[in-house]
Amino acid sequence: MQTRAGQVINPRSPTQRADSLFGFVLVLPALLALLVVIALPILKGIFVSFFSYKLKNISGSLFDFSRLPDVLSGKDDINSLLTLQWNDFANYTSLFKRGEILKYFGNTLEFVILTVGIQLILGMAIALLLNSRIRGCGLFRSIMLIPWTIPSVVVAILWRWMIHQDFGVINYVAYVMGFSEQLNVSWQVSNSLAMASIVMASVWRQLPYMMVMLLAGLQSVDSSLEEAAHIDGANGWKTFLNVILPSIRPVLITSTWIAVMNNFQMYTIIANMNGTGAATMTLSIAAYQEAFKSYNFGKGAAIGVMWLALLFIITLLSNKLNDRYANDYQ
Amino acid sequence: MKKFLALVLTMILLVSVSSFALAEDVTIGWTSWALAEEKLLPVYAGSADAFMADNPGITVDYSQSNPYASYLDQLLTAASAGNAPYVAHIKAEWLPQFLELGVLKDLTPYISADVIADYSPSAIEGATVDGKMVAMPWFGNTYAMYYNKALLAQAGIETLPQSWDELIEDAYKIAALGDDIYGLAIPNSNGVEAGEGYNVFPALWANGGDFLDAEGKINLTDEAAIKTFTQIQKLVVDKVSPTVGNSFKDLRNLFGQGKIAFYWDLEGTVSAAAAAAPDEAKFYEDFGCFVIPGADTPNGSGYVINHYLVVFNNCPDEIMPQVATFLEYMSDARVIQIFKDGNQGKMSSRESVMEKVFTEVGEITRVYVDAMKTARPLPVSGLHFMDADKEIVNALTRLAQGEDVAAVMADCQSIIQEMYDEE
Repeated sequence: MQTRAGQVINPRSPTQRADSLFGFVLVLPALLALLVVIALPILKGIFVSFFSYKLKNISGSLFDFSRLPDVLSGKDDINSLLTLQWNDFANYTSLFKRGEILKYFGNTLEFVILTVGIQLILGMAIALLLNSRIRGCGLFRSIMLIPWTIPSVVVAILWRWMIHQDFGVINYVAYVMGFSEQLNVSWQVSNSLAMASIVMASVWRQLPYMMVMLLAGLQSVDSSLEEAAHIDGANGWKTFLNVILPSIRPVLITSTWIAVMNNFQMYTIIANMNGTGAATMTLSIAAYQEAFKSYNFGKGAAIGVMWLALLFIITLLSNKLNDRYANDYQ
Repeated sequence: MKKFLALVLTMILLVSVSSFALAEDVTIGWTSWALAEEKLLPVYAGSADAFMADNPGITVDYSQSNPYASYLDQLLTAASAGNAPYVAHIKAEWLPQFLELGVLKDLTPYISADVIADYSPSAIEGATVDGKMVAMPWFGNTYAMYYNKALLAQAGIETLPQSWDELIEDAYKIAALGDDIYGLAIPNSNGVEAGEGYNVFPALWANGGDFLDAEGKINLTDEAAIKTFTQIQKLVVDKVSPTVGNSFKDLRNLFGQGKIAFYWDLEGTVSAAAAAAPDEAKFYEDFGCFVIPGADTPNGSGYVINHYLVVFNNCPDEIMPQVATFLEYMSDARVIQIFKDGNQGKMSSRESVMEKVFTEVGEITRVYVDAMKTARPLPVSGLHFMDADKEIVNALTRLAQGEDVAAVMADCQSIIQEMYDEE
């Protein structure tokens, strides 16, 4: 075979083609499983977000195929196959009517940025500390891992009690130490305190994961590079910024990205700490609330679709950024 | 002859098989969230066990249950798929959801006229839609005002408040006893446990307002509503009441610890409050309850949450007579007596049951029986009542932040009305 440029490409041999086909057959069951459990529900979610899809519709099918012969013979319009009612984008427009969706986006971004940002800074600080070969490092590392082993729902209940207006230890400590003028501070009423409480609980739960990932990255940094930097007169901060950070960049990006994704989906801690409070109504809580408490599955799906779009944009940006700096270190 | 013998033998075989089938047990699946709660299980399971003991041949399978938080979702899903247990315990505010799904069996042909006549007309009316009885009224949970005698004495209050205004006045006197003492608490969790925004209704009713007006429109901005929500805002801002977001469970703990003078709760939960007390014997010494006061005595302003038993369409018609027997049994005096003996405080809307079970009662139960006489059912017929409840809690949160009452209630009314208009 010859290309336009005149290069000759060897056609694949029958054995190679057979191997490819065999490989495809091997992954086919997995692909089918992914199609059924991921692709189809996403497509269904996008589809129903354009229709009035409520409690009365859930027991029926989306399509009435018994009408197919009439549609094929031209007696009926193709729309007659649909069992749902098209509602002129009402699921989407209703979300913008009172600016609800903007609040959900705002709350979600605030939660994700604060949670990931704080755990990244604290995680890095602790990882650097543990990487400096201090005494009792192993024990300290084990203790630090404890919050990660506790289920999210337990964490939420634990923190709910810790911030309780009347019984909470945090209120007591803040009052005794003079940070608060009053003892009975309600963390649920104030918008900023409500958000702060769920961020604190989430950071506490997720910090060990970030710390472990970053520590693994730090331990893989070539020590000769650090030595070279010291010989060249770089101080600790410059070494960290110009040698260590670029060295652990792949780990840093992967850990941050996983943390961002986890927190975009965060439901358990928020729902069990602050329920459906407006100040902490993130996209995940709002979608669940609409679909499974108000039983407006169409509107819940519309929130999900916009959420998906946001994550898609963030993923694209992240990939672009990743590609741009991919070869810095080499 | 051989043919005749074969025919006779076949007939005998068929008759014996069919009679065996008739004698076979009928199994009725029954579910309630209470069956998933350790403290409630003995009473609820005990009622089904009593039924089985009195009705040999009918087995009640109560092995399927879900905790309260996921109960409704799971039941709706199972019912829509036709997999639900035949009989389920639901709260009245959930009935619209099941009706929307179209999964409930019409009980009209199966429940005896005598039993129906025994119920109060309003109870049957609430369970009847388009002339069909879609649910069996089981019991009603009514609320009474708990009070702490010691706190009242410390504040120099000698007589119980006879009206809502007197209650507010007394609450302020008690709150003046200390920073961590509350005069009156109104439950309204933010959805962690349940909405519970409807707990503002006693205050609203006592001030002459109502959730719905005569035309069925949302009515949260009239003079009485603004007065009520201003009063609630002031209670919270002045720290006479704990701030919003406290569920019944939170308030039981605070009351048990002697930090609240007045709040309303169920009869069955006194023990939960007592469990939080440092000295249980002292708690019972100081504990008292009275009918939630209305605008004036004797008009209480409490509410009643009705509980129903419903039968799903997947229940075969052939066993409906046995199911009806079960429903009638569960709502009669024997089961309500089991609840009473278990200190559950469940009241019936059947006249004969109230006569049999609640004639000879203790001091506390007497208050609940009296409360039942003036308690109003919650306005739960709307499909979006639970969403409205959530919006009321959101409004209360904004009020606690000091926002303007009229503006907050106008927003709340508009959001709820829009939801109700969608129905």
